[in-house]
Amino acid sequence: MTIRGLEVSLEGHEILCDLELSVRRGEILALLGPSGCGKTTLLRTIAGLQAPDGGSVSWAGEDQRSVPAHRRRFGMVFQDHALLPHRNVGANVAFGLRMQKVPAAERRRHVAEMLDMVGLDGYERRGVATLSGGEAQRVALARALVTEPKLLLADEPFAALDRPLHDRLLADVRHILTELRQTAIHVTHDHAEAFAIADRVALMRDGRIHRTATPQQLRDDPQDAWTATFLGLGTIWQPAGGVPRTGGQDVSTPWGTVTLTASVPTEPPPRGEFCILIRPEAVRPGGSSGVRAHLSDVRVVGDRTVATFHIPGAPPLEAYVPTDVTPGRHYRITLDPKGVTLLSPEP
Amino acid sequence: MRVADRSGSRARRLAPVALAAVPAAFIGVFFLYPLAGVLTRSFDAGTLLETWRNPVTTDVLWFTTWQALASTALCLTVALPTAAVLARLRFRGRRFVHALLVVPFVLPTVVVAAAFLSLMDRFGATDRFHHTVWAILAAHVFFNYAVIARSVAAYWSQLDPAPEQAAAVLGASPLRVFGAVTLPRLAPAIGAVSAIVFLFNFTSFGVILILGGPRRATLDTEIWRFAVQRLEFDTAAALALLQLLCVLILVVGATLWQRRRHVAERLRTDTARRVRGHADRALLAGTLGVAAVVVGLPLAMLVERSLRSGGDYTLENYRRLGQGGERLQALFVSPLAAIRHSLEFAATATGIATIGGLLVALAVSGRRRRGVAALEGAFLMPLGTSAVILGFGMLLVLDRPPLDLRLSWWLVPIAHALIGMPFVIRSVTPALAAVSPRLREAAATLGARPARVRREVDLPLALRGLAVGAGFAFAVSLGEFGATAFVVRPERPTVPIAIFRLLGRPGETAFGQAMAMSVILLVMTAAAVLLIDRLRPAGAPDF
Repeated sequence: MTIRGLEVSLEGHEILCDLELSVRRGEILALLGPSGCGKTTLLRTIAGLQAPDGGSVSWAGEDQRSVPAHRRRFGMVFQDHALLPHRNVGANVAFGLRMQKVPAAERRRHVAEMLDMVGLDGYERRGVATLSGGEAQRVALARALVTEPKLLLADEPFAALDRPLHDRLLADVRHILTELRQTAIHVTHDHAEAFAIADRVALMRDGRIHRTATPQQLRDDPQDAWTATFLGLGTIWQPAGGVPRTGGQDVSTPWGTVTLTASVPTEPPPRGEFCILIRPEAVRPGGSSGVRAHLSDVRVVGDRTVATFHIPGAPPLEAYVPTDVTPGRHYRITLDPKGVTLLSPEP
Repeated sequence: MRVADRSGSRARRLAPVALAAVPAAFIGVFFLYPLAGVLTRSFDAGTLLETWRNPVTTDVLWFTTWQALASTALCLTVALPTAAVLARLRFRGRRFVHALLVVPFVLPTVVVAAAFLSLMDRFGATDRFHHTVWAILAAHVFFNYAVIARSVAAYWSQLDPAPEQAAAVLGASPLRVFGAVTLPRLAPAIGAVSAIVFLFNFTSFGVILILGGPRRATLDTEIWRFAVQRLEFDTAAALALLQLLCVLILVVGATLWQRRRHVAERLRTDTARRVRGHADRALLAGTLGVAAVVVGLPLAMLVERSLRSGGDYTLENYRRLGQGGERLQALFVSPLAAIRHSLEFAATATGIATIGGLLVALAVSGRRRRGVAALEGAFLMPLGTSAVILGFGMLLVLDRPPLDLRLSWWLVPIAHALIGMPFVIRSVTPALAAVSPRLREAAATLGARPARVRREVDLPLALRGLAVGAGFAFAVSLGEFGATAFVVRPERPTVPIAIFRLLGRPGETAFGQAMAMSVILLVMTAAAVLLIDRLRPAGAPDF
């Protein structure tokens, strides 16, 4: 699927402008971006639920502009699952097959298979209202997948679920989609979710695709300050006038001079004003050398301990630390060059 | 729902117009055309000013107005304390009391009139009260007591009690709080319902015809007398124009007043509290007592009277309904035949109203634009026009080709369908509006064409609303009297018409039969209404 120069305005506000995106057959693409960047509008436009003001959406080279939503054969999963409340689970899943005039016996078989696949074996006669949030989302997924859609569009399907359920469902869905070799676009604002489910991630910002890359590439080389901030990769140091570069790969920071080993952006920004990303794992506290920094705050994030170090004239520095550190004390810190990346600044 | 297909979306924009075309044509031919007929007749006759200047007309207009004012004031006095209790106290059976209170509103006017006749008969007060304004006022209180109590209570129970609590903390006594805070906040609700009740009383027809007698005439009863009894259509048309003008002034005035008084109140779900202590219990008992006397007593007396014949309790009155014979000459047919006619008319009218109302609701749903709101308003118009004017208009214009329906069986169900359709629209539209657009989109992405989406998603979800509307249309048709009195064929009377004719006959037998038929109509209507209330989804509008 290829999108070229897509423009969409809603009530006079430009939501998508000159948007370009392509999805390869069989891949799972995560559409990742902050709230309000136009992810949902893009998805609705692809589905045919929203008319574009300009540009094209094409599937296998065929322009979809004149194809209404019900003939596109793109399946969609909604955040509020949108199950038909007056029909039971089986009838909801069978809905698309009925629209395709699949015979009843065959329909029943497909529905049973699909429910089995999403882990809801034998749920056919259950009322939709009796389902938990996770079950409802599984039914919505089964309903979309059973019609063998050319493209599956999922609009923040897990946003309303609690963390453990969210993670389990995410793994299940990735497994199912991979098994079916289903082409899919998965919209989310949660980068962990995007990285966990997708083959490639399209970062979206203010109505445009900012960058498309694999999760690895994005994490290892965020390229610019906005991406690094949005992905929460670490502390950004952006001094006025750019990072002072002493020549070659050396940069001098308030936390000491670092010899960069990670990749340097291929296209230097105008006037050479780089900034740097210091990942929390790059900070090594407790040595005998390095800069003295005040440890202000320690908190537990996931299975890690994260501390904040302060030195005068520099932003607070986030770092992974051992559990035995004491807030309020001073530590000497050094930076591991492997965790320091040069970035182009926030435009 | 917007769809990428440009030509398709154009077709889809036009689709609602096509949907509404059939009901629009129906309203145009059977409502607007007759209404226009009344207007042109009144202007063409040349006797318009003469009729208006006639002192009899002035007297009728004066009586119409002051009885309506007095009725409304009396209704408010009786109903507001009940509204207070229903709004503020939560007790077992509250929902049931609410449901029961709908019954008087939809009861046929002839049944109410018959109930008050039996009440007067029971207490030997017929000579003193029959054909007086007191009987009329009492019947109007019966009708509107529940309308006021229910609508004010519904608004009141959603008001945030914080301002009252703030006033109390600031040192205001309970009475002071009510006068300075609660009453002004309730004013929009009380004003709105007062305007509606005044309109009902102003255009009241059956009650006044039966209880008021020949000397107590209002505009509506005079229109009927001139059109149906004296066949003086010109005078009737002049009076109809006068009535229409009065109603128009009232509606415009009420709307302007409401717009000026409009205060954005933050409404909450239900702020009633549990019944606590003796004071609450006494208050509740008193209120239920008032409700029982106002609503229950006349109906109880009606049932009691229907079971009494020649001083004994017996089923004689009911048994006589089955017999035709010379005793029932006034009817031309047996009372059982009247019941059959009523059911046939009601079924047909409900069918027309349901299909028409559904089409209109589908056309206006999801499109809250100006033109669409006006479209919906046009379809609700028959609700604001008195049935007498509607019947008179149909009598005036539907008697010549190409629409010579004077002798047609269809005239009665058509009139009833016009009155019933607004009820269907008003119960289906909110049900459709409540359908999440996500569901329609989900169905579309699964391959359902727009027409299929309507059938598979909208229709099933609006079905309860449709059933409620159909039930109202059925109940309204069963009891309809004002329009029917104009367009009915003598040999095909409905139950209300049969009751009216029996009441006009002298003698104990006819009176007993009228009471028995009234009880039958009462049971049929009440059953329909209580069934509706069971189907009504929570939060659906009242009428």
